[in-house]
Amino acid sequence: MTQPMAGAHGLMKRRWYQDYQKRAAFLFLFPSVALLFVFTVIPFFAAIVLSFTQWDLLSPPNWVGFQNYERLTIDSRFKSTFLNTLYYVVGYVPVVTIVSLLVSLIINERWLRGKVLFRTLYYIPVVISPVAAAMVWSWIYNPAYGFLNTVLEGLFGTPRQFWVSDARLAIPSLIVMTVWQTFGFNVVIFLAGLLAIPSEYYEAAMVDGASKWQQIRRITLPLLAPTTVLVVIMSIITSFQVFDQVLIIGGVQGPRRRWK
Amino acid sequence: MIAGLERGNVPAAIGKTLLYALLAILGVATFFPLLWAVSTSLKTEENAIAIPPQWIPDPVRPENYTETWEMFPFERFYFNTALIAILGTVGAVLLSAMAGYALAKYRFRGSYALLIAIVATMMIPYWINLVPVYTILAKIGWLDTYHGLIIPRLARPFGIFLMRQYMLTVHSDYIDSGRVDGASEFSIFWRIVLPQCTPALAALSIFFFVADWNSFMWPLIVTSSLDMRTVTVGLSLLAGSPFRTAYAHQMAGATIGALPAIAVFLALQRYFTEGISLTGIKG
Repeated sequence: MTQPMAGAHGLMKRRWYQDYQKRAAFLFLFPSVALLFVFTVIPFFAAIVLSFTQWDLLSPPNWVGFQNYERLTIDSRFKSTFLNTLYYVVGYVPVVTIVSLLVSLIINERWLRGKVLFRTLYYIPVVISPVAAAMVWSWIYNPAYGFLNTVLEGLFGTPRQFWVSDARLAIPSLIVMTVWQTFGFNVVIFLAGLLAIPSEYYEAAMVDGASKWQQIRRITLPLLAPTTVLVVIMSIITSFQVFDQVLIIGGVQGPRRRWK
Repeated sequence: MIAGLERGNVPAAIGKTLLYALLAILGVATFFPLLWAVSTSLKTEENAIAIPPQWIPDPVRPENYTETWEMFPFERFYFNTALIAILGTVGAVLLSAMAGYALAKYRFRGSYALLIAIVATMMIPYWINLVPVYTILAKIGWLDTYHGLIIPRLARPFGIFLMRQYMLTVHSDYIDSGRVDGASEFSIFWRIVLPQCTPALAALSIFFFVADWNSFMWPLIVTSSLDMRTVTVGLSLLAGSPFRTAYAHQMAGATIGALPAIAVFLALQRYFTEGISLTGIKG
């Protein structure tokens, strides 16, 4: 055999080989990149351009400048839906973060038995479709026959509450339901983050006589910060997009909360 | 393990018991709504709304399930959902692995920039795209079709990113020796690289399957005929139908809809949590 890469012939062969590799990489990437381009990137920029037009989907769009945005600023429905969503996000994110952090801290304790059992149990609501979950919760929240009102009335004599149709209660009820459905996911993420903290730190702290609380304060929470940031950011993103549960449990209309 | 007890440390033992109790109460709170739904689904409609509530259905009425099943073409919904979830998952996992492989193991100019660009598309909220995507699908006649439901969602940046990260850990020596042996680039990918990525492939498959099975807004918008609807859309029809006050039947429907995903999860839960850990640590 001739020596590879020697002389003009070898150079050509190498060139050909590099091109061949590039072609292979291109072919591996092409389907994903093309689909992302057609169904994500183009629609995204189209949406931005279309937001400056008036368009009925049938006739060609008409350029109207910032008119749509101006209308939004005076549209009371936009204002109230936006504030409702903000209220929901501001309520949901801290609750789900704190609940899942506490639970994962407990599950992570070395002496605790049944870690897998708890983790699995808490995760079950995560895999249920939001539609089915919302049906279950609207039955629990049912004002006339729902479990929540029946139990509260039976135990404490609390008057019946309209958990979903009372404007003051609707968002808190939604928060409870979505925390129930999602905290198990964050528990698993926190547990992965906790597992990545080297145990030497805790051993050193115990030698120094640090209390449990000091260990959590000074070692666990600071080293877990990247995971916490991840959980908070993901929760903010997903909670701003909440839709399925709201549609099923409250309908498109829902109760109207007055924002000043 | 139980150092607190050995030392006769009573407060520590009480603390541990309290923490167990806390986890157990939360477990009951997590599980109770589901048990209550199943219990309701097996009652007569009169017993479902009885006060005080009936804990265990008596008489048990499994007919609620068959009756709910017949209110809407649920077997069709199930077929559609299974088809979309299986084809969508297989296709999306394959495309993710291919793209992830190219980004991890081929050196070409701009490969890192391309990775960043792909990951950046994750930040685009999907509802911004709904109207333009709908218009595109309408233009090319894909509305209310299986390929219209499946193909636009085959490229998933999350999957590409996960596979790329995982494939970085595959040794390039294997790939090089495959090249020396004269294997084609695709067969190196298919026979040498993919078999080493089974944990990531399994985790991604389960993620995608459950996400597809549960997805609601996408099939709601893309489909319009009853024959093309999916299980979640069927459930929403049930929840909005005149049967919305037939609570036992409603819960039967919710149970039918939730069961497959729970079954998949319980059967494969090891891969599930492993998969999240894969992303959680990297994140």
